[in-house]
Amino acid sequence: MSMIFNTEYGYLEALTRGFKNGMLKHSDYLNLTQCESLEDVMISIQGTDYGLIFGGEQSAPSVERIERCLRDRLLQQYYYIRSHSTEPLTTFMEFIRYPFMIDNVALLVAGLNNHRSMKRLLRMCHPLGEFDQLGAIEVASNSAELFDAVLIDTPIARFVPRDLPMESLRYLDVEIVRAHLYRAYLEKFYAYCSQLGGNTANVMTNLLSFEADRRTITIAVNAIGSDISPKDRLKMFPTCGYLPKIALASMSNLNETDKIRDVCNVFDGYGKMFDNLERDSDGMITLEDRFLMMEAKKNVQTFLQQYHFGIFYSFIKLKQLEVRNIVWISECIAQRQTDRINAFIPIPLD
Amino acid sequence: MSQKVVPCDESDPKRAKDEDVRCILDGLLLQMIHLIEDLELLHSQVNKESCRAQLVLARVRLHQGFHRIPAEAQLPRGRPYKALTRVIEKDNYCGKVFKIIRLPVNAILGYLLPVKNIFGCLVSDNLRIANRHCDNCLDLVVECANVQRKLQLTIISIENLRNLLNQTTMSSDAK
Repeated sequence: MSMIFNTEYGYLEALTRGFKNGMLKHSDYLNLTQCESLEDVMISIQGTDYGLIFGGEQSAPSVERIERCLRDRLLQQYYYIRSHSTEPLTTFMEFIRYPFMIDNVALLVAGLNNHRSMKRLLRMCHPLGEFDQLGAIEVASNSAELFDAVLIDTPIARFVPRDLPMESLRYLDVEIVRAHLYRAYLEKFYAYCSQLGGNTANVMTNLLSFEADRRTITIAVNAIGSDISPKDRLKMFPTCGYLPKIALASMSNLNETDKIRDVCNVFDGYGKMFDNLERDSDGMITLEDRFLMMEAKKNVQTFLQQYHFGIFYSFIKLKQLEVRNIVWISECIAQRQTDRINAFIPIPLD
Repeated sequence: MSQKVVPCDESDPKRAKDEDVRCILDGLLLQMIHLIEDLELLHSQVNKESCRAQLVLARVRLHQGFHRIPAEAQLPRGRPYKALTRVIEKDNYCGKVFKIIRLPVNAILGYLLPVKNIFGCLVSDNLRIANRHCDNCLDLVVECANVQRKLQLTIISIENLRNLLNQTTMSSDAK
């Protein structure tokens, strides 16, 4: 397997490992947290592997500009890998893009329901989630027409569940639509990776199972106090995680965080996510942070093995997290609230 | 230049009245200083709460990505709904005061929870916390407005009393 892998994907794996080695280390984060202004942040970033990404733009430094330039670098790296890949890696790389497509479609649905113009909405879409038909969707005048276009021609057509009520789409909560699409995406991606076999299947099924459990627990906690029925909650829970069906069924009925924690305590690792959360009443370290930390750790561990596609997935995830960390640091500096500047999600690369 | 010190003569009713007015004036000046202190404290609390809400919203962007929550797409338009929180003016013993009334959520009558109406039914913990900070800000702003009103009334009372004292002094000097 390793010889065959290297002939097709050896170059891309080496390149991705090189990209990963260029990610920010602890010392780089220390430099960033000591900056006093956004100009300092931009100068510090240019001293890292990012290089001169801010170019000749004369506009004033802003968090949006920093985020846009960092995201463009991620896009370049993704498209370089994608354009040099062959099957089945090409399909694998497309699967990495689908969540962004789902987010873009959810954004368009929300925007159309709120009578926003398509042109304006298209400018807000994430570039990694763009697909050819996105521009053509402009002719849709309501969200039901939009989904007719999605159903027919777009890459995420296969993620639209058959039982999603198209006629009442404008009244359906956009988060519920997103949750259904994401569940279908995760399950299909899991099935695809299992089919690939070998190290890819081992690594990716582990990562995707964790992602599925994380979605389940997050949806269960966020749905507390809402009027979503247990049956509808269960439909949003991905089934490809480590949590068995009985755990999913019981979490769909629970309306208290403590009871959800009790169900999670049965499964090693998830109960600890809820520990000590009540001590932090300021909302800085929440369940989401714990999951992000665990996700970062798992994605770094992916690089310990060779000859599998998991490193491409993990690199994109880690790079996204790095961009968000830098944006967090920039926001703290812009808002002049640097007491929480060190509350970014650590990526254990060192 | 030596000032002529006039000893207080309590048998003189006019002087006694002046003395009372000065005592009231002292009390009002002290009250004014306390109200200024309260106002400054409230301003700093409003600033603290709104800064905390902004930071928590930045945390939401860290969790979900910068692109996922463009408020411009999610702010409802064309679907009118009624405000849950209203500010009304009520009469009490020291004049009119502002009061916040919070109405219960009732989807049928159009009273919707803004955070769920804008961000969907699956609201994250951080958004709920930011919402709480913004609600606290509202309460503090109303309290600020009430203290500001009291302060203005106190200042007007001080000016009136000073005018009264000046008139009394001028009429006694004329005699």
